[in-house]
Amino acid sequence: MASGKSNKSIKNSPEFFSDEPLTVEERILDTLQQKHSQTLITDFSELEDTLSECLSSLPPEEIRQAEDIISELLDKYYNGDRDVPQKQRFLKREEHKQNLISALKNYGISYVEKYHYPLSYEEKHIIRMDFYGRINKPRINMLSRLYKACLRNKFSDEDEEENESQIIHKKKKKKHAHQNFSTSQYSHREYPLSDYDLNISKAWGLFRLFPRFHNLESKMLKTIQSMGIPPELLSQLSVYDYSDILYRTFRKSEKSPDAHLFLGARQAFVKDVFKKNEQWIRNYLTRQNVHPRYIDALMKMAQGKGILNDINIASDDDTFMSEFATFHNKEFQEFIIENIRSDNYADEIRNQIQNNSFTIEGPALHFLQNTKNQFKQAIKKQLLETNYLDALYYQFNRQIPFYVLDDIKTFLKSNEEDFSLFLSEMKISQKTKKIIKDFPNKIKPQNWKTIEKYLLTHQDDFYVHLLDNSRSPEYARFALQSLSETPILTDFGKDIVFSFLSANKDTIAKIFPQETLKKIEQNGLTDEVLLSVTPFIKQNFSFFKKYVQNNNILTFNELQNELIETRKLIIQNGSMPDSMNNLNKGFVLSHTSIFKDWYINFHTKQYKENASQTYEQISLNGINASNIKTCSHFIKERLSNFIEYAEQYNIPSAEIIKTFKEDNLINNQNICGIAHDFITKYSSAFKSFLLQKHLEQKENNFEVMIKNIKQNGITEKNAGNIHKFIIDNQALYVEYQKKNKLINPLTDQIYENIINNRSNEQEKSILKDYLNQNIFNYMIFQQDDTQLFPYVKGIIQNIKHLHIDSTEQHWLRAFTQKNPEKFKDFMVSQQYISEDKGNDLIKSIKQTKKNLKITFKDGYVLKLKMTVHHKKAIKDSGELAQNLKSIAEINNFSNLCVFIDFWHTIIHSLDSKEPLEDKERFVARLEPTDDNMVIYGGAKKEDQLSYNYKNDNRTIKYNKKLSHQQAIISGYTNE
Amino acid sequence: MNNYILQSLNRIKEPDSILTSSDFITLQQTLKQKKYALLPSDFIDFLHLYNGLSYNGLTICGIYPQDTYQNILTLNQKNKHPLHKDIVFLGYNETDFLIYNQKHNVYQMIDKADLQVLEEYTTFSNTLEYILKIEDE
Repeated sequence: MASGKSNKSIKNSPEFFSDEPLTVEERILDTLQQKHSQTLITDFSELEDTLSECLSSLPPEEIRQAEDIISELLDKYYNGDRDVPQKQRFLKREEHKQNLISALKNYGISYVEKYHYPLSYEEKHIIRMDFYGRINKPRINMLSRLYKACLRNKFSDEDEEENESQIIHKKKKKKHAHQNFSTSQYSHREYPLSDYDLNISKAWGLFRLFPRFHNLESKMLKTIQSMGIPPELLSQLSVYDYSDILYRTFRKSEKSPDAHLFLGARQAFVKDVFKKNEQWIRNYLTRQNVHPRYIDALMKMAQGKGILNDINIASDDDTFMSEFATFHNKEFQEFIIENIRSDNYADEIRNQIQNNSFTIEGPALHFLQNTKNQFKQAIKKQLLETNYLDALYYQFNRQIPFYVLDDIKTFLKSNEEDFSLFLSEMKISQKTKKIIKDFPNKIKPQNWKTIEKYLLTHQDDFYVHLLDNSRSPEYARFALQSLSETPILTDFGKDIVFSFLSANKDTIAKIFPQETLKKIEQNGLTDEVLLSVTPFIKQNFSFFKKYVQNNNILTFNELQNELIETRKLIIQNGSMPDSMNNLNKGFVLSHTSIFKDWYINFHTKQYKENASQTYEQISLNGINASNIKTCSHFIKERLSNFIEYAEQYNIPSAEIIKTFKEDNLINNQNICGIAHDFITKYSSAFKSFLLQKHLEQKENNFEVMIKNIKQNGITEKNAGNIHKFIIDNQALYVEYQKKNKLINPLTDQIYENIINNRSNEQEKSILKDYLNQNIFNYMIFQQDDTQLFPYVKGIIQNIKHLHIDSTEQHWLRAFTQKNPEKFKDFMVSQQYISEDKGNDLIKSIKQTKKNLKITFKDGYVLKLKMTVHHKKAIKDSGELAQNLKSIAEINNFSNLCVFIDFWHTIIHSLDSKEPLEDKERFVARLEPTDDNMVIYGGAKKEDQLSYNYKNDNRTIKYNKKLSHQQAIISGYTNE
Repeated sequence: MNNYILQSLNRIKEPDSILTSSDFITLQQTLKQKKYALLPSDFIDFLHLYNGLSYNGLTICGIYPQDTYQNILTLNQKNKHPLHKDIVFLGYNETDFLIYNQKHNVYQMIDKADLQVLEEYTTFSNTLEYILKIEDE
């Protein structure tokens, strides 16, 4: 497109562009072509081919030399001067360019600067039609000669004939070249429709890029047929000829100034742009400080209807009503108080609860929303209660931690003989070895009990066994404690069990012997009694649960403390129940650094002892196979010191290095002996080396463990460590539980379920309990001024600051509906209602989500909504915007524009320019392919949005075959 | 590519490349035949993870069988640069191209219209850092 030999025109245009006058640039180029015999280029990209053509006559050496020179100059021009610092690299860009141009001149190549080729008029013409869906009646002088000849044959339209005859008359006068054009050559006759093939028409090829024009083909062909245009002439028709045919096909009458081709074209475009670029446009308008409500309304209008003017912003009714309520502040307060005191919500709610098909609506809903926080607190308490009952359940079903089970197994193994004697005493015929082997997973219940008995009778032995196996005394005590089946309860827990037993006296009397009952009466709930009643409570735990729920007098905080205490007892005396896994995981992960510190250091003492033992063994027995690796490692780390030390024994350093390099210490008795002395001399360093090694190992283990906890939660592998960590850091654990907000999301979810009537049975029972318990409170609230007044004051404050929730909305609406006249007066006085209807009374005020509809008694209906005026939403560049100049003129645009609104201009254009230092610069550049639509929002880069016509689903179908630009290029070159 | 950039990339998109060595060999051969510069090794490393990427308006091309603009070969065939022997187009945004300049061993952001160099980076990591607008957290 940009280059050509001197004998070629710069624009090798097909015939349908022949009417287009040459541009200034083309005229300049054509002049240059005539004057010089040089090859012209307008783009350095074309240089390679042109250069090789121009240099073809030169000897090969000179060609290479010339190519090198040009390539070096090109490199300097594009990549700057690489010998100077980066900042100064492009300072001489213009100079480099001139050097390049003059060098090219030496080889017969002239470079002409050309900024940009805009789209051809024909393309713009089609795009304009596609965009507006409308076509103006084409002017006669735009049509091609052939087409006009055809028209003359067919139509007898006076105006046309007159026009045409005038033109022909003038042209005859001028003796124009085509004066002898024979009309008889294309005399009118009808050709069969099948003879017409639009594929041969390049001009129609351009139309076809737009699917909507493609769809009009069949209709248009009929017009062409009826006009008697010969089929072979189709290839000669220009874009404007086809426009005329389209106009004739779709015009309403012969004198219509325009014809509608397709409806909703602009709307479709706007819809498309706004749907695809919603976020961009939102961001853009937000940057321009446009009110969010306006943006919402604009989006809705543009995406829904594809129009941008007459935007109705959904009126914020609450604003009017809150202004109204604030205006009548005193009356509003009195209204609320009076309403609360006189309402009969309590009765209604009571009726609703009694009704079996219980749904949350009306007063109950209002009541729940009013007491949202209180209700949520009640839900939280219920959830806490569930957790507390879980903890109690666990206490009555205690389990031995699996790591204690391991110890039991080793204990049984080491006391196999004694255990087998015990078994025979208990008359158990099974083999001892099998029982131990099966322990703990495959063991039968009766054997399990036997083992428990054995352990209880051999508690001291078990304790000693644990200590012998390097368990700490604390752990040993814990292990013994965990064997006990007696529930370990808090005082409150004991109280509630006791009262449960008292409440079920009759049942208990049937089950338990008199002695137990007496003991309960006399001593209360001792551990012994608790152990004996445990099976009973386990069996009847569901009754116990209900009893606890019904007789729980603890407040939320008290219950939370109770739960924390119970959990503490569980952790201290037994294993960790699965129900606490999430809590414990959260605790560990939120205290990772403390956990790490604890984990690495809690065995330090033991490691120190181990290190001392290892050292003593080495100092006594010398270095041998079992410790050679450690000793070798220790010396390797401080080899230079060792060499110095060994000098007194006259051992050459090379030998020492070799020995340690080959790990051959064990075979070199000499050095081995010296190493032993060395270690003995630096015993403390050696011990701390051993300790450090242990700690490093621990650190690595810790990372693995944390990763494991994150991925898999609490498993058998890590439970032991976590359990011990919690026991050692109980204060932290209690604090964590108090701050823990795991319960909140669950509470919110239950609340939403209840409010939206999606609740399950459990949630329903929470709700009923709450309503039952709180109606009385509500009734008190109704009459108690100290509670009522702050409530009203809160509402008034919220309204004043426009913090309007459902409660506020309820009162506002109620107040407005009760005082329609006052409201109308207020609206008139504030000029919200411009039509003054005098003394007409308002019949009703109806509220929907978006509108406030006021019906007056004389039938006049007022819908309250704010309207923003956008008179000039979509404008063609040719039209005038209000009293200003042409929009295109103002904005330096030469094509289509879309004005989203008058103040925040977003313009849709084909090619847009802005003046820049006396040159034209294309603000919204066209893509090299076919992006010929651009949304332009301002000079800043982030305010510019390109609209890729290629991706428009209206054209995408056709792009698969041939892209827009390709089609145009082929249109140029094929000719 | 350092971990930091990889993390930032992962936030945008999971690695999705299924390209094999033969894909790269074929592409490099074609580029050589068509007299374009070859793809640099660190860019190939990136393609092993992501077969192209679109972020913040910039498209980094990959290897696709179709004749699309995300395809490196197509991008190079459709755009011309006077120094095409020394450079290879790697990506584009609305106004710029991302290219690799083999002669000077740098990645460059160049203006689409006049091919002027706007930014230069020595490694692809640096380029990504700029493109992804990575800031210290």
